[in-house]
Formats: sequence, C-alpha cells, structure tokens
Amino acid sequence: MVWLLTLCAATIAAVTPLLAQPAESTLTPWTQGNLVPFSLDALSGDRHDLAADRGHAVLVHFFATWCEPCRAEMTALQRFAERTAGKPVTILAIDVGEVDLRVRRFFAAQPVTFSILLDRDRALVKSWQVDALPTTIVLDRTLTPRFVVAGDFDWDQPAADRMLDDLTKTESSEEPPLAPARTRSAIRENDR
Amino acid sequence: MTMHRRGFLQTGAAVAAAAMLPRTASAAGAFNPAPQAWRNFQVVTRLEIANQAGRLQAWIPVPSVNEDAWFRSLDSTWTSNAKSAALMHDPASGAAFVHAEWSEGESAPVVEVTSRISTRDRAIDLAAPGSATLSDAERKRYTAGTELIPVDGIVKQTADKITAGATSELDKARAIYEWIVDNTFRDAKTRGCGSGDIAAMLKTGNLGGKCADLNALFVGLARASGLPARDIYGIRVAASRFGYKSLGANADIITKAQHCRAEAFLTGYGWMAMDPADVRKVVLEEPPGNLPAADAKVADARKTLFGAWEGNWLAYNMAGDIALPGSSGPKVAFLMYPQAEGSAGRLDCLDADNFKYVITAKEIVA
Repeated sequence: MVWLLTLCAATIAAVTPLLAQPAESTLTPWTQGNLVPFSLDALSGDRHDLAADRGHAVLVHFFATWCEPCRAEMTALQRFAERTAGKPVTILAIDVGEVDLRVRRFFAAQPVTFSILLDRDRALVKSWQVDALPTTIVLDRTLTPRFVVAGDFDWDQPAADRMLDDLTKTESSEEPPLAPARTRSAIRENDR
Repeated sequence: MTMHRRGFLQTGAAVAAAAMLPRTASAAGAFNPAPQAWRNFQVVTRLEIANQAGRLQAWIPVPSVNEDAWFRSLDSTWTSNAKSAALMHDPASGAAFVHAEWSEGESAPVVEVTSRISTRDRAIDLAAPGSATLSDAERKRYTAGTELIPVDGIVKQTADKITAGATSELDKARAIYEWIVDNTFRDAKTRGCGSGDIAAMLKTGNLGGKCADLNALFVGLARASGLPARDIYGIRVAASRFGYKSLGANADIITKAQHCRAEAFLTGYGWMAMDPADVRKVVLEEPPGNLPAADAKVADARKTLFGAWEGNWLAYNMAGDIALPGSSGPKVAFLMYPQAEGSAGRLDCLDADNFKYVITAKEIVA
C-alpha cells in the first residue's frame, strides 16, 4: 500500500503539469501556417468548396451536437450571422463525426441561416489539427488563417464585430488585415 | 475529440487529493470476483427500422470473443424479412456481425438476432505469475497505435512521465491504472460510451468521458509504454452479484448497457483485466452518488478492477476502425452498437428509441 500511494503521488505530481491547461476562449492570432482547403458535403445536400468563399472573411466553426458548450455557442453564432448579414462574411459550421440524421434533427429544432457542413470521417479535423470542440478558425478574404479560438466564444462581444470589420476591409492579400498588436489589445479590452 | 470544460483542473485536483486520503476499511472484501461456475446468457437484439426509403442495410454485432478462462461465444441465429442476412467477420480483427439488407419498398424492416454466451468472473493472482508469453506478431499488434489511439506525441510523453521509475511491467500497468483513476472523471453527459479520442483528451486537459474514453486512455498509455493492451467492446447482461448497482444491468432490457473494458498483457501473468473506467463509474453513480475516493465501495472497486472483473458482461469483439461491408459511410471507431444505413445516410446508433432497437438479456439456468 505504501509503495502504491507513493508511486501514485509521484506520478500525479510529475504528470499534471504536462497536461494542457483548458484554453482561454479568446481569439488568438494564428501562428501555425497555411491550411489545406477543403470540400465537404453540406447538410442541405450540396457540396461546399472553401475556395468559393474567397473574397469573404470566413469563420470555420467546428462543433458537435453532443458538445454542450457548442450548443450554447451556436445561438450566439446565429445572432452574429444576423448582425453581419450583407457584409462579406461567411460562417461555415462543421459538424464533426456524427451521423447526418442527428445533425438534421438538431438544426430542425434550432435552425440557423449559415451553412452546416459534415466532416463525417473527421478527415478535416485531423488535417487542420483541431483537437477540441468547439473550435473556430477565422480566415481573411484571401482564405489565409488569421485567428483561432479554442473553446466556446462570446460572439456577442463588440470585439468580434470589430475583428470581422477589420478583416472585411482588407483589399489585398499582400496587406495584413490588421496589426496583430492592435487586435490583441482590442480583444483583451473586451475580455475584462 | 473532446470538448472544453474549464472546471476540469479543479475537479481533477479534488479527486487526486481525495485519493491521497487514508482508505477506510473495505466492505469486508466484498468485491472479490473469482473464476468459479460459468453462467449462460441469451441476448436478443431486435431492430425495427421505420421511415427509411431506398436501400436499407443493418449491421448487428454478435459475440466473437473466445477466451478459455472467462468467455465463450456460443451460437448466433437470426430471423428477418430482409432479402439477405448473413454472419460476417471483419477481416482485420475477426469481429462478427450479422449484415442484413432489405429490398427497397419493404414497409416494416425487422431483424432479430439471438446470441448465446457463457461467461464467468476472472481474476489474476498477482503473487503467482505463470509462464504466459505473447508472440512477436501479437506484441506488435497490441503495442501499435490506431487512428484514435496514437502511441506517440503527447500520449508517449504522458506515458513516460507516468511510468518513470517503474521497473517492471506490473509497476507500469499499476502506475497507468492509478493515474487514470486519479486524473480522469466519468462525464454523465458524454453520449454513448464516448469517442475514445485520447490525444485530444490529453492535449486539452479534459479527461472526462466514459468507458470508450477512459479505458482507451489506459490502452494508449500502456501501448506507448511498451505494454501490449487492448479494448474489449461489449454490454452488461446482468446485475452485479457484489452489490454494485452501477456495475450491472439491473433489468432484462439492456439496450443502453454497452460497456467496454481493457486488458494489458504482462509477461508471466498473461492478459490481465483492467477497468479503471468502472472505478470512475462507481465514484459518480454508485448510490447515493459522487462518492469520495475514500469510500469503501470505491476503494474496493479500485483495488479489484486491476486484475479482475465480474462475469456479468458480454464481450462482442476487440476491433477498432471497422469498415462496414456495403456501407457508403465512414468506418466506425468500434462495433458495440447496432448500425444501419438507408439512402439518407447512417442512422444514429445512440438513439435506440428512434433507430429503433431493443436489446434484452436473460440468464439460462439449467
């Protein structure tokens, strides 16, 4: 018993720091390089090619219906979609690894106006190295990844609108959509 | 894949601290499964699929595990109005299932599969290692990574930390088992048995889930440590004779009683029963619920489920990443639930009431 408890205590102490801390759900600048474009089936039955969204800022939002924070965030994302209607912004909500039927039932009870895509075999989350749900990756108008939020995010906060405003004002891929320092500052201000 | 839950570290810390408390006296060693008489069970899985147009198929798992010491898959028979129904095996793993396909226009597709098994308790005497060995091919198979259970990266790093200082295979297995019990938690909101994406669990620090998560984590950490290990997918078929309400099927209908367990192979001892996920189930669910680690029932389960388990459970198979023949959908991570697919896609196997299917079990007493 003594050796067991000793070993147990030692391993817990040694390993706990190795585990990732739960992510702060804030937008952080993307630092991991380019992502491979995708083409996925949509819940509507169509096929959606990311390349078709060039010219828009794109929120690529990964979720699952079983994920409790995802469900709450989906309603905020819908409000965000309504606020940004008419602007060059596309929201793509990508369900991960669930059967179509379940996703269809979920959105029948909670309709949204943006596209629902299906990563049935998890190939996209593996390719994009998305480890947890929900996760949102924000692409600029050239489809270059600019921000990521790992965890549920408050899409009602003004910083979200400002971030999208800045991204959608960008005209050229040669010109950064906004200075990272300014973005981080703006978001932190709103997080208080 | 896991979901964020900010409360994890606090919860984990509390459990870990509780685990350090002195244990109270156990309930007179009440939880002591040991190989004695075999018990026979009949399990019936009935699918009645409604509202499906076009081509309809179903895949119903049947028991295919045969282990001399604790489990025998006997026969499986079926009745159906399908145009074809056959017993099939996954070529990679040997996992067995009945594959049925109905004619288009069948108004009331139904299939009923009846399986018989023999099972009994298992336990290993840690004081008396034998001479069990594993072939090189089996050792390679059961230390390899899979799609959801990688054995490199953060899994390997975590395993190395957990087993640092452990000098024997037994010490390694013990360290990993205790770490799982201390650091994970059963999340009642997890659908089904969980998804088993262990790298995501470790990367996010969210170590909540159910058996397919927690025991898969054991398997991955063990494999990453060089210990052969495997998951076994099954379903509880009877109440616990040891008084654990949370560790048994407490009614004839067992539709939602799926449970997967784990094994590790230790040279000399052979395959050993491992079920740290069920320790966490006792913590969460054993009445009155949310038991402290020092509770006698938790302590008993923790002690027992390293090397033993009760034979009130049916083992379907040990297969992962199974391609369903004839399906146009993705592979299934494991085959523990009936599956079906119509022209509109795959049905939700975790939604038995709408699917729909019912699984019943009864003990056959001579």
